[in-house]
Amino acid sequence: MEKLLSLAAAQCDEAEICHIQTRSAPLDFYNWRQTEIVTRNLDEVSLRVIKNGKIGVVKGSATEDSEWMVKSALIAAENGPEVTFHFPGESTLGGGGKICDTRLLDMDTEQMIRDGEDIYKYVRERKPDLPLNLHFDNEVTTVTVMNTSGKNESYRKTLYTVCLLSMYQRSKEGINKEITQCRYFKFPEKIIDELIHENRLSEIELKTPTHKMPVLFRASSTWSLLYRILEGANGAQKVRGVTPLKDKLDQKIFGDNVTLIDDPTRDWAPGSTPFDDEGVPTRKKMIVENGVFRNFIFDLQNGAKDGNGSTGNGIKRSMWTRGIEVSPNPRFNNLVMSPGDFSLEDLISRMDEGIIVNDVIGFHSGNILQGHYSMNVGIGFYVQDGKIQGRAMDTMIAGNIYEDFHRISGMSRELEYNPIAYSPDILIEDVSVTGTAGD
Amino acid sequence: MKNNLQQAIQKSGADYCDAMYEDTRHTTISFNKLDIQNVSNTVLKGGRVSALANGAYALSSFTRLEDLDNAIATVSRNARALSRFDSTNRLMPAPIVEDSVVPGMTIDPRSVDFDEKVRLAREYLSLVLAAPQVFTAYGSYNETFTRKTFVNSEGTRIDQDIVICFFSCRIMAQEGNLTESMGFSIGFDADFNRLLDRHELVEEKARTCAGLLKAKSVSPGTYNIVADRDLSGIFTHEAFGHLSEADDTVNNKSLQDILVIGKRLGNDHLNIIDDGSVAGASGTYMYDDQGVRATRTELVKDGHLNARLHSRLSAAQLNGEVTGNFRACDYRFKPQVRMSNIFIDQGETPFGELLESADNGLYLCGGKGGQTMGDLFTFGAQYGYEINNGKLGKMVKDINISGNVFETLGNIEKIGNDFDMGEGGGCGKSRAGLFDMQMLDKSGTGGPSVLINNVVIGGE
Repeated sequence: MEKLLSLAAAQCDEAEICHIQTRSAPLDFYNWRQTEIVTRNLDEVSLRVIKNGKIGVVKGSATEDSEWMVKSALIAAENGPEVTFHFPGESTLGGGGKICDTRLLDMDTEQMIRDGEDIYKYVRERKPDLPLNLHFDNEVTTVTVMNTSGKNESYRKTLYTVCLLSMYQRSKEGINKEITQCRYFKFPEKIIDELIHENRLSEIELKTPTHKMPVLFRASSTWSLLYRILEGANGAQKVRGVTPLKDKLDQKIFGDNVTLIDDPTRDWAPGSTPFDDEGVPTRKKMIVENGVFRNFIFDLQNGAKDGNGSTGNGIKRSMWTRGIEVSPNPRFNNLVMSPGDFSLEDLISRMDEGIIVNDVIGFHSGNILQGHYSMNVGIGFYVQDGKIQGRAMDTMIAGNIYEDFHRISGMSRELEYNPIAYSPDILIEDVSVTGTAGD
Repeated sequence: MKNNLQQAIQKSGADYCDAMYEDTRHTTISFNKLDIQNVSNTVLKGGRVSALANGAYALSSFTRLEDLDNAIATVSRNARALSRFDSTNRLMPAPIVEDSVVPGMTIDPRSVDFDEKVRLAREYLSLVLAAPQVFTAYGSYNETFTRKTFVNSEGTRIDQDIVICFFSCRIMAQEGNLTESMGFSIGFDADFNRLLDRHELVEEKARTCAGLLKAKSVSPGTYNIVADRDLSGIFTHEAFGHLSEADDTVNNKSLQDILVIGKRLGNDHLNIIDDGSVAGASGTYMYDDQGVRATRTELVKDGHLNARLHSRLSAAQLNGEVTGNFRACDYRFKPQVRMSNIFIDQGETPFGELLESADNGLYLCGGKGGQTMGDLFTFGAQYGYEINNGKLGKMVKDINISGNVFETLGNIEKIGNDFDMGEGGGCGKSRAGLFDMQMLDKSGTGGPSVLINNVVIGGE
């Protein structure tokens, strides 16, 4: 990689390499019976060059010929956008959370197969007819960023994922319980019990009424709401002038009980990193403090356009793809929502009538930037008199987070990680619910 | 490359082994209004091997060709380790093939100058930007060239060249504090010719997006709807197509039970086809990732479930026919059973008669994402119009459709005679309606307009 950097440096003003090596071994068990394993050994690189104030990018497999990479980056730079930033030389001063568990570095496939068999054994003793898929993944990623400003740093991160999916009758989908951490863990029996319990509760299928009622978003579903804040607080959307938060810094956007912090220093958290994919040291920052909007997140380019520089949120990977994305995008590292002081049982018992949402389908519907959502309750329950009555069928929920987050009446004490954030369960009053049972 | 791969798999010691190596070059020229924002070049080179041993199945992906031997040793070892737990996997026999595939094109996009591509994209973007209320637009010209080599231990040897080019655009219209956006794509075929002379379509999209500013949100309720060709295609893909993918059915007894071959799913006029061999459609290809040729599969015939989409693995488990639908978007992913081009087959009813039969309802156009959960589906329509007494009325927006696929298929009352394959498509494509189109797979949809009774529409 040093060779590629010097080859590029000789032909342009500045250059940067982001090199990501990934070893992983996702193992799937399909419903007690079938298994499948994919081992991956991937090696990818992105090269960015700045020449005459313009930037160009090329990315790809690390085996590609260096000359071709540099030539393609130069063509891109000739036609590329003007930039005013420089690649950062600033070194990362230790800090950061723990992200590498040596137990995962040499863990073999056998260990995951045994852990899978143990989970099946536990379930077999309790509900042997539960349709159940298991997914394990043990991923080791090494990220190196080097540039012509003198940066040359690496970190190694381990990531262990265990996911249990119990499929409903007549369905490929069902209740999902997933944990991802940077350290090895045994899947908690408490959560397997919850899965079995919720599967039993789902045996009664209920039509739901159409009117406003409290909706309890379980931590596993809140990412669909928080995704709207990711877009609202995204510095690229501010620079484009399209986020509704563009003039809202230090103003109240949510109720007092909403606090969101982007915290890349949290130990064993999946999004923790010492520096982002552009080599900028990451840091803990307030996004929303007691309902007041405090910070946008920026990568180098959008940070420069906005005037205050990167916030260490330039990520070259997206939520939905593998490998390096071409252009960095502002993304949260680890969004953490402050918890409340209720247990899950307390929250449910506070609802005279309401819906519990474990999982949504169609999170992308509605005008995301404006905070609007209109989603189907994929996995959810109908509550009456503080008790779960059965599974909520054919139910849609709709609203707008910039209104709904003023009506949060309770949150759980415990946080869970979902694809975007560490989140509590969130109870929101007066959400528009459309069911098929009439009014 | 063929010989390298073939020599390597001979050492596997497994009951079956295959190896694939691909070299993909992707170029995107992206625009912010008329300015070039980025020219990005991507090269993806790598391979994947898979093996069956003692009835267990394992795969491995690698970037470095020198890891090939190691990957083959790993899959053989892993398959044996897994066979303790699972020894049920078999392969349905498939023809042994020796072939080299080059797509047909009147204009090869690689022969077109960079400046010409830029000029064309700017021409379309200026049309968009000239529309009233449109305040910005992002566009991109994309092309992908893949050379893919596949061999297996049965003797199949295939080289395939795959070329795709397309223009896609996201339009943003604004009035006061209200912003509306809409995306569209042109092309998704090998032929650059498909991208030329499309000005009318581009202008119409810009007008429609601006129209959304004045449109009112649909009121939630149950409606008779006429779905346009795009939406009917997306419904077929999202709601029905995913259930046809047999790899998910293999281990799911209750799914097998609701999808028994021969079961009545709709009226006699309903035929649903998956066809990877439609000329020029976006989901068309020659061979899948097990070296099986793409075919035409009649999934629903005269209203009855007739077949499923299969890999060689799922076909063996469910005793189905091999359909050539086992595909991954690149070497880093494991292949899954995926649709090629899926559509409801041509019907007999003229469009006007569909509206008349709907009487009072909604005409809904264009799809916007979509997701299914078993027999439940939900997806958005880009926009729509009220139908009042069989005539088109005011524009509506914020339309979310959800329901049960079997009820909805049964409620398809009439099928239009205006069949057309759509452009674009792809599965799991665009992230959250933002401008970052992610083509994860070649996958096409289309169809005729259809009248569906009693559809649940949600909104705010």
